[in-house]
Amino acid sequence: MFGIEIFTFALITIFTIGAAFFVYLSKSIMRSAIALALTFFGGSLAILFAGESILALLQLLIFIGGLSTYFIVALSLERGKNRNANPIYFSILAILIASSLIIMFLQSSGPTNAQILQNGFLTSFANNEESAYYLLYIIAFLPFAGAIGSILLIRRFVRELK
Amino acid sequence: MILLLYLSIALIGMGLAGVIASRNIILTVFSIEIIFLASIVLLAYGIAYNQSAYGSEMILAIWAVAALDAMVLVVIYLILSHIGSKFNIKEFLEFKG
Repeated sequence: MFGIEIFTFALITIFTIGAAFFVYLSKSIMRSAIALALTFFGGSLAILFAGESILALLQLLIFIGGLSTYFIVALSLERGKNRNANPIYFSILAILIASSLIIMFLQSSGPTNAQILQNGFLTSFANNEESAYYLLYIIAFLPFAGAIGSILLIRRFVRELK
Repeated sequence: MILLLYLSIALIGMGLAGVIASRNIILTVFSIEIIFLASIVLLAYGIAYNQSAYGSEMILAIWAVAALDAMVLVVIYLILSHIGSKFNIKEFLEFKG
């Protein structure tokens, strides 16, 4: 059951998550940018592994070719080294948020037909098109989740000012 | 293929935690970029799950806007750091142009 494909994908996942951790553990902001480029590379590998070669190529061209190169060149001017995030606080928060989301997905994934018919909320997602739109809503929410987090951060700054 | 979903969820968690725990504005931008990466991984999972690519154009448009936003934020950060700002919010409010 534990084939070479799952092993490869587990390696890609560990590489991506480790690089994303190093974004916050590094003291230099430029090393964080390099770790972010490695995270993008791992993400594009995972997408390639899923069989979406054009999406993986776009990810490689836009994020690593354009954005990460720009970040690394621009932030190489920075010389200061200080801890930019509290690693313990970050680790606890990341584990809490990810585990709560995984529990939420496990609760909602894979209902049987009898469960769908009993549950009024899931009845509208019983056919394929509706469930595709349901996933699309989650995907479209994610970019704005970052924006909402930024607004909360600014609000905390303003509250400290008062 | 369910591992792709777990990878995207882990990346979402790390991005949100990074937005909350970061002390530097550039790390906040990086966290938002990690959440964008999670969104595209989840899109790949959705396409592999359903074989119909709903929303890929929208994700591409969001990518373009996000890349532009991140570039503008890095330019603002570099200008402020070369002015000599310590990124204290009180200094921003006392700044008279």
